[in-house]
Formats: sequence, structure tokens, C-alpha cells
Amino acid sequence: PSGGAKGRAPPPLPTIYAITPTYSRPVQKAELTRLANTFRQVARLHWIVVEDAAARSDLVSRFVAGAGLPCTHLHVPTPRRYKRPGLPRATEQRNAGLAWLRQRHQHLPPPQPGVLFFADDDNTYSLELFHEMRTTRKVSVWPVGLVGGRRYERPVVENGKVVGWYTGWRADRPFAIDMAGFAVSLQVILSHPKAVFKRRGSQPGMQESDFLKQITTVEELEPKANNCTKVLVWHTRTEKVNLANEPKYRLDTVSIEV
Amino acid sequence: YVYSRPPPWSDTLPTIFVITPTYTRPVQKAELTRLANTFLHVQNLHWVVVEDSPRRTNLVSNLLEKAGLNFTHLNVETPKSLKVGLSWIPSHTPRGTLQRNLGLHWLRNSFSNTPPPEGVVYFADDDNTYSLELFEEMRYTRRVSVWPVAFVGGLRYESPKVSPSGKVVGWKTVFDPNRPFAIDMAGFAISIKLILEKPQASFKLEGVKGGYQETSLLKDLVTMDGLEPKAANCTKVLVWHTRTERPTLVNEGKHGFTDPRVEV
Repeated sequence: PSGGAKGRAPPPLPTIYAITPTYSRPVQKAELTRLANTFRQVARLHWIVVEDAAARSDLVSRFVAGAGLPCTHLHVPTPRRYKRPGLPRATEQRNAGLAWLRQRHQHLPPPQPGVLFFADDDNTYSLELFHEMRTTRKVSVWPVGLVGGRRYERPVVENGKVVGWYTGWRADRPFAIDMAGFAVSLQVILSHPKAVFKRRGSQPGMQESDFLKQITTVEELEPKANNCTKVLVWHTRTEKVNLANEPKYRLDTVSIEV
Repeated sequence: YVYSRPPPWSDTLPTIFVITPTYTRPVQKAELTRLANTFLHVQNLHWVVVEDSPRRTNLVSNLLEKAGLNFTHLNVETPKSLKVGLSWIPSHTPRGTLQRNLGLHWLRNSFSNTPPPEGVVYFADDDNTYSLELFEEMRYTRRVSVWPVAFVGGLRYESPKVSPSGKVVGWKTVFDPNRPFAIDMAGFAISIKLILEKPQASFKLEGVKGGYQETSLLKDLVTMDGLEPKAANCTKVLVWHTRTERPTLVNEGKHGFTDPRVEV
């Protein structure tokens, strides 16, 4: 830290909290590995990993223990009735991440520095994105690549303010933005203790909009990434792996984690 | 800890030359970005990126400049057809072959007059996933080292079969386990010394049966009993053959909808 006139150190960098819902499937460990490789390049990033599971799995527990960055390992199972195609996913897990943050900071005086964002485990994040989101005062937004049936979607910005949405799907939504396209300051989450991702009354594809409606207005949004003209995050998806040759009988003599 | 920059270069640590063929498609920048984020952790890594392209593209040039890694940027275009005598026949060169060979060629040229560093060559496709541990396993390869690879051959993983005395004696695969080297491109590394000792060894361009690409190179470099098993005698999975879905760009329409000047 530099000296300054009174010898005071500059304020520490606000912590970025990444809330990642995750679920068990063959590529899970690979996805978490390459995510960790990215997150470990970011200063003061705290990773909140939330398993869609009734109990912490051995795989994720071992992974988190050796991940090489500050991690919080949570779990909450999605109720069976919500596991249908077309229904929003990861709702309970993201809410668990929010609940943990709220609980941890409940007795601390405002304003609490920090920014949180929702980092799905198969997306791709550039390091520049984290510079951009760290200065979020309330809610910041930016373009997302490879989503909505387009090369990218983005907020439309005029004179430094968001005035509309450039999106391939239902541009009439109040916040026509993907989960990967925004960050929220910790203080906003703490001052809106009831703001959560909803199940009841939430149509598919409305998760982000219904959430943001509870905590901000379009007018208040802070456009990042050069007034929302640069793509710094991509909604990549990983192919399902072909396990056609896995034997039903005569399994291997050792049990190897993949 | 220094963020977003590779660890300082060390004069005593062996170098890892990573050869990555790449080609233009919507997910290319994302793939190279997350690869770079991984490689930034690895000390003494030199990334050789070879584009399947008639020219080096701005997208890849800019990405490499900004990434902060030691890199070499090459390009060679895979021809759609080959001229044989007076006629053109469709080229069946497997994807990435010409690019990997160009990487080897560059390496051999670079050290034709200077003593090469200690180190290895590794072929890293741009959509796979690599743990950091993998690079430390391969770093001290004497000739050719091998290890398991996840999600290939229709299995959770394929692996070399290692005897109790630590020698590779076969291949645990379902798909054609009798290949001389039944191993995926991501499952081996070759010492620089060996690459330079055998200047004729390269990937065969044509007439290579499915699954035999790796054999076409390795057969000129090493025999099975000369292989060095890594990753705890090939019992740990440190690399995954992930593949990325092609994004549906249905809303771009026939003439493109989004601004092509916005790089994705």
C-alpha cells in the first residue's frame, strides 16, 4: 500500500463474489476446473459454489478444498416438481448463495463493499470482465456473447444510460438480459433482503427480469464494457459426453474420478 | 501472488511448448480466452498458436498480445483438396494436422543453430480442459510421457495400461485397443530433445484411419515400453476432452443481424 499524506493505505479492493450453481454430471469436474483456473487469476474473488444436491458430494468437497481460492461450499436440492424442461433452473441454488451473503453480513454496518454476480459453471469469462464489474455501485450491465440465438445480446446505451435492449428473445421484458450480463453491489442485496429468484408466478425466461425488478430500475443501471460494446463473457455450453462404450459389467478394477 | 500475469520465467525449469491448432468459428475467442486463463498459471510455458487460415487474424493476434503469455503465432490453411498430377482430389487431412506439423517445424527451425532448452512439446486442442497439475506431470518428460484422458473413445476415460513395475504394457480402451498407440492427442507429451533428434517425425497427412493420427507420429519416436507413465501410474485424470456446443445463431438470419464490428 502507498503512503499518502497521512500514511493511510488505500481502501482494499472490493471483493467479487461469484455465485455458481452446479450439478453432478460427467463434465462437472472439468467445468469447475477451468472456472477455477480463471477465477484464480482475479484478485479478491470469493467463490460461492452451490450444489444442486441433498448433501455435499465428495467430488465437489475435494475440489473446493484444493481449488486455490477462497471458496464457500453450499448445497440445496431442487424440488422434484421443478425439474421439468422449460422450468427455470438453479433458482434454489442462487437463492442459497444470496442467503449466505446476507447472513454473513447482517450484523455489519452499511455500506458493505463488494460485488456479486452469477457465474454458471459452463460459461466463459475474460479477466477484463472482473475489472469492469468491480466498480459497480448498484447494478451494472454488459453484453453477453453467444446467447439469444445471436452472436451477442447487449443493453443499448445512450449518453451513458441504458435505454433499451438488443436481444434475440422477448425484447419487451423489463430487463431483457441474461444471467451472465449483470452484477449487483453487495449493499444493494443487503438493503433488499427480500429480493430473490422466484418460482411462483415466474414465466420461463423471466428469471433475470423478475429479480432485477426487485432491486433496481433501468434508469439506474451502470453500463460497462465501453458502453456495452465489448463482449467480455460468453454463454458457452458444453456437449454432452458420449459414454456409449462404458461397460455395464466387468467394471475397471480401480475407481477413478473424472 | 501476481494476478493476470504468468509467473516469472525461470532459467532452470524445463519449458513447456504447447501447440494449439485453432480455427475461426463463433466460440473461438471464448475457447482461446479460457485456455489463456489456464496457461497464465503455468511457469515457463510457451504457447504456439497455429491458425487454420490463409492469414493471421486480428482476433487471434489481439488476444495473444493482450494475454501476457509467451507466444508464437503461426498460420497455415488446410486445403479442401490436393493437387495430384493433373487432378484435384478431396483432401482427407484430419483437422489440425497441418497446423500441428507447422508447430513442430517452427520448433525444429528455432533450435537448428542454438542449443534447445530442456522441455517438452504438448498438443493442446482449444476446446479441451486442462488441470494445472497436468503441466507439472509432463514437465520432466525424458522421451515420451503418457496419462489418462477423460471423455474419449466413448468412455469416462481412456488410459494406458501400466504394469506393477511401472511400464506401459497396453491400452485400456474399447475402441481399437490394439492400435500401436491407442491414446488421444491430449494424452502424451514429447521431449524437445526427441523432437529434434528425429526431424522426420510428423503427423501423417493423408490415408490415416480414424484413431491412428497419434500413432502416425509416435511410431517414429518411441516404442510402447519406452513410454513414461505419469499421473500416479495413470490412475488420475488431469485432462478432459470436452467439446463445446455449436451455438444456435438462428436469430442472425440470412444476412446477419448483429454488428459484425463487435468482436465475439
